[in-house]
Amino acid sequence: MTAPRTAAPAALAGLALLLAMSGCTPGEQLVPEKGAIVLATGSDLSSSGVRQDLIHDWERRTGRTVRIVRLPDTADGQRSQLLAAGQSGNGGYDVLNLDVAWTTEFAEAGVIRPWATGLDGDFLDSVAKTVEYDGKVWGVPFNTDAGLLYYRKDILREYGHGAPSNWGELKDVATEVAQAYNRKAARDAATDHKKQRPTMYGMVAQLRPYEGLTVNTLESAWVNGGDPDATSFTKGEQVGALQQGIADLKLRLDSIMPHEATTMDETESRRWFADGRALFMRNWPVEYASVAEKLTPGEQFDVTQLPARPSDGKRMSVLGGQNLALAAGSERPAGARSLIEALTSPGSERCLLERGFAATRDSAYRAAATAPHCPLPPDGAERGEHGATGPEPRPDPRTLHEALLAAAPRPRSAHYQTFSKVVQIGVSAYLNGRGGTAIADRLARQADDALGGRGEQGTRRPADDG
Amino acid sequence: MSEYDARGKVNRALLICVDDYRHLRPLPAVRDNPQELERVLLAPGTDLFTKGEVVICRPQEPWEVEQALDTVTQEARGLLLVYFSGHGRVGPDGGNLQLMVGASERRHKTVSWQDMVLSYLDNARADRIVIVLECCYAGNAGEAFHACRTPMSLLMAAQPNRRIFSGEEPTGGSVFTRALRQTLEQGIPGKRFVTFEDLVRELREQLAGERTPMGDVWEPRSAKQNTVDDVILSFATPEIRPPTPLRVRLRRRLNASFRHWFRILMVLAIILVPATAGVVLLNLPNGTEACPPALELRLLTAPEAEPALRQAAFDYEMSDANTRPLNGGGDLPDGCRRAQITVYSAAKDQVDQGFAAAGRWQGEAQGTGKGGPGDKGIDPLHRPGPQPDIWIPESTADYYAARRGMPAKGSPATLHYNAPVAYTPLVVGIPARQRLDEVEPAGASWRELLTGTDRSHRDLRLLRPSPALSGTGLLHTIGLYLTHDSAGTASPGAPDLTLARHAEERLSAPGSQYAGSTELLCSLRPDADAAGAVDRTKSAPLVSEKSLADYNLGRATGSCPALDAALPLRNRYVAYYPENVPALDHPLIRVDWHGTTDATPRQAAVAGFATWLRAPDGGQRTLTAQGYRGVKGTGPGPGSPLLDSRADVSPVARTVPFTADPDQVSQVLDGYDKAQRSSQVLILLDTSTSMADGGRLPTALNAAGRVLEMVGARHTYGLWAFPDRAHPTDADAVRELVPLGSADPAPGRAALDRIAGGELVEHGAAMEEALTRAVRRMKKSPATNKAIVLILDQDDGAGPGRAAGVERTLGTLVEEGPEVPVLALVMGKSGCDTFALQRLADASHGQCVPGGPQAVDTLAGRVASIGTATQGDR
Repeated sequence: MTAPRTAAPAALAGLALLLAMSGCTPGEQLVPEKGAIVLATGSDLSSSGVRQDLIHDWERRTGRTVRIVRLPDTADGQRSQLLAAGQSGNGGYDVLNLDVAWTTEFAEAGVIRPWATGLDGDFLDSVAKTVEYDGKVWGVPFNTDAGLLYYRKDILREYGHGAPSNWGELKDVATEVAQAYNRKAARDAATDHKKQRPTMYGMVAQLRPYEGLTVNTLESAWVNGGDPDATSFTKGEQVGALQQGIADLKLRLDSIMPHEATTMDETESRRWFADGRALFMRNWPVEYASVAEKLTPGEQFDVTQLPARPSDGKRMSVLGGQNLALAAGSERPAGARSLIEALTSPGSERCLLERGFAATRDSAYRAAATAPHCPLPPDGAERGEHGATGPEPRPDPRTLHEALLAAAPRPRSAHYQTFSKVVQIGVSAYLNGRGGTAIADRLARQADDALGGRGEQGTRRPADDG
Repeated sequence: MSEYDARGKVNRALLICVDDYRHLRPLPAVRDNPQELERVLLAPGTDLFTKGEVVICRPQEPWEVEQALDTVTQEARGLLLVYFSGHGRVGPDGGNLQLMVGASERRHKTVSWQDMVLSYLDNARADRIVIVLECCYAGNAGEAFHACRTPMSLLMAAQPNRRIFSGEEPTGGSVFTRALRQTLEQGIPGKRFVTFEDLVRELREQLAGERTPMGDVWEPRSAKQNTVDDVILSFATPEIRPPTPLRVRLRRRLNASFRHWFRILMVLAIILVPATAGVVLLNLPNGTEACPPALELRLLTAPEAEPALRQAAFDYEMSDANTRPLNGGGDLPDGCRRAQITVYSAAKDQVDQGFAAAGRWQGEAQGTGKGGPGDKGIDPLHRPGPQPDIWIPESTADYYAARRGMPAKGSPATLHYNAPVAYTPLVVGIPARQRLDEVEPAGASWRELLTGTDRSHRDLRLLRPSPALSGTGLLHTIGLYLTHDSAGTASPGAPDLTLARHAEERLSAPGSQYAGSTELLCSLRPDADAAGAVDRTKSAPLVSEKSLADYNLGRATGSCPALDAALPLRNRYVAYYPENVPALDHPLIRVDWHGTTDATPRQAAVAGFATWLRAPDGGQRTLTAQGYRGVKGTGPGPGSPLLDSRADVSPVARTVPFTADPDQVSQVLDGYDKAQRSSQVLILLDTSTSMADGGRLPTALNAAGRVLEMVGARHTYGLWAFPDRAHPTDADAVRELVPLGSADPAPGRAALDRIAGGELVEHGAAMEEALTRAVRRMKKSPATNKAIVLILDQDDGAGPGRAAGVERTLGTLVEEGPEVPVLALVMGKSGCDTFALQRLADASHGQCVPGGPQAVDTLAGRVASIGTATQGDR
């Protein structure tokens, strides 16, 4: 990563680089850093909104500039480019905005450098875990996310129900209420000679073969006794958790979800829920505002933590969000560091929470009087993330805070990506009814192989099943 | 007769009791049997079993019995007593006794006396075995028992073929066990101990007055096997009892302390063994060593091929081939994966632009922002995406076209053509109910196909993916232009321009082109959104064999999800193979980027994947299973979906290799460009604040940005926004961000960035007024092919103070010549379902596209069609 990238000015540039690199610790700069801080990120950060405002605020205060490189718009594409460019010494970035699931792989691959000072205690424990690996801290949590259960408060109340406490109850309530609702809709349509309302399904979730399916699968496996910290699905108490989780997912798909759920991502599932075609939805807090455009928040719909697992009443969700990390090859580490610190300061995190993101610091969730002050001018507040006027409707920060405290990171492995692909392909085949339960058993083995970084054991050792 | 005395030995008593049944009548009387019996067996007076030697089992499942039997037969060395109290069943001939456990059903989940219980007992290590069966038909147990080899005594609660439980017995222990307990606990007058024979005799006497539930006498039975001894079961006696001999007491103490020490040793072992193993594991070389992250390869392809290549890349990642050492790849621990592959796709024009602006691509990746002189405003890292290490276009023609656009020297990217990895012939889909008369599907000439589908015959509308946006579209065009009707061979020489012109006329209507073949086919699916759908029975799609098979079989196609089954015949298309048209060949092209520090292992990794992809037992298996034809040129193999008759393809049709040279491709591209007229688009963008809701703005800006990508010297544009920021209350005002007639996309992009940055107007957008102005302006434009791209949230309707008759004016205007089609992309919730928008699209010969995952591509396909509009409707 430290090798110069072009042959022509190699000698001089190399020397300068070496000098800069040797002074990488904060406060010990040998030469003043030149040029803009290059921040590589997906498109969501490059257009507008509070995160952009925080960057401008830092530029104004320090007199330095930030150049944002717009990466591919899919998460897979971002990861692939950053990792491959890092591996071939091609990435000249200073700060990387990384998905929480990538930390371990990027650290192992030498694409990012450790965050020398560690994190202060204000960061939520669950969130801080996403930057920890191998006894070191590899970045600073920027914004976070936890899955929530969206539910049709109005319809459930009409049939005498509230938000379900566990997954079994969810299935029962969804079945009962959707049936009753659809019968009534059919009757109404017959008597009023009107066009019938669309069929109400029990639930929608993200079951298209992409990262969202891995997230839904992990959550279902955890509900069935899986341990988020485990790195194997075939050992000890983990045995069966993944299989059971997948079986649960299929049962839910077959009983209360539309078949189209197997092609849904976050946006598509939100569209179904907001269009009044599902009673429940598992989704991230960010979809709240879009749902609120069509359904009245607090009346027609509401959010709560995901249902609990029956054994111990624990509610668990996969943790989402992004971390800011120092690129290993950064030639402006002091500036990069200062930018990251500013973007993740207590004040900035409070801004993020106020403008619709899930903050990574505990202090941001305190009552307004005791919480840190958001340094951005209030006029920015009116614009919101997408430039809209007035504050967007958002989930109750307390619900969000509780969900975050109970959330857990995805398996922290340098081979997470392959693991996720294994899960997506295997679960997708299982949900589409090809291959039966044998897939679930094979999947647990494959998932282990994937997490370990090795090829499929079954093909290398034919005696495996003997 | 001698008596076997088990005192001081390792003895076991297994008490199996079932009183609660899921599918049978419960037996409340049995419930208390085990505790009471255990108490008796461990009582000091009985003096045979010691603490820990009596095991109670209340099985729900048969395996619980098996497990318990396994344990006691392994452990017991002296006397093994097995007692069962619960339901029993026999077959119609009275044999095959089954003991029923909690989950037992009539003939399912039962414990076989002969096969399970006796087989375990026959392998026990105990000196003597005593079995007590208290169940209906217990008397039928004797027969099988005689096949055993170990010394066993069997006490059966009743004579054969008798039931002993009605299920109505009260709680507090069953009659038989109560008698049994009493004898063992109190002993027999005049006897120093109770032997097995004594017990049988005593029970017969005690039960002589009882009746079985069947009403006849109750007579316990016994049997013995492989022994002539008697066995002492209790040392209880009403007489004066002699003390337990010293040797027995000593042995018991020894047994106990052995158990104690054994336990301590076990605990130590549990702690020490894993600790030692852990140390050993940590110090083991290789084998269990952690694997470092694999080398990340970026694979760029076309949207149509993405799902199949994604599957192939995954199969490779997990295959043996990927764990073999790479040239220059360094030493990895055994079995580690060497490469991982991320597959992504982009439209053909975006890929062409990316390679043409490779300097910019590299500059953005390096964070320098540098690029070539003509690269301004292009963002290749965002789209097409990552800098590819591997590019697999749909055909070799795509590769030639991309090469054509790259600078002769100085590009940081070099393309290395490897070899095709999968074939699929090009086809014309004809509705299954309208097969062409006297045209052979597996090899028709283009001329025959054009005639068969024309207005005087089947009257079908030929739909082609855009040659600019899709590799399938490009190769179909090459096929059309280069095929000589009579030659009968793949065609060297110049394009047949007469045929080409004739074909282009047939293909050149707005809406006859699509961004790609999957998008085209998805819009034809019966379950497609009505607003985007076209008349299936009047259409003939120009696609590939593979995508048509996917469509017919109801597989996932573009954004259309997989269906439960193949489409019914009436909705299917039959594949007609135009003769001598080359097949899509999907060549693998390695892309080297200048300045890469790991070039050697990276190239080796690409080579490894390329070899595997072409191997019959490697990638070929995956790709042919997905519906492609293999590189070895022998029709579809076993397991190929092409062999399914419902795919309606002809597996016998020939795969024609690509033989055209780069010059011919250039000629065709030039010919196509010439056949296209210059065009002009006016993008009219709604920038009211409501656009910012629900993530609509990014989609709207993406759609506008996609249109800008197609801009060039012969395809000019203008960008207007409404309402006007300067005059927010003036309904008529539009803001001319980029004047009409501009050929440079850069100012357009800059304007879109400003809108993304929050330049929105808080005011209802008066679409009709803005559109009226736009239509007036476009009618005056000298361009021959033109259209308005209207991107709006939703029609906000009439506001206060609105001029009367706005809608009428607009309506009249669009119907007047010259024609200016309005292509509307509607982001709002009602989509295209409003009368006004539908009418507008119809009257202007345009189209309305609702917001959705496919909206940007759909719009791009329509915009690409604008330049081709020459001959009215068809």
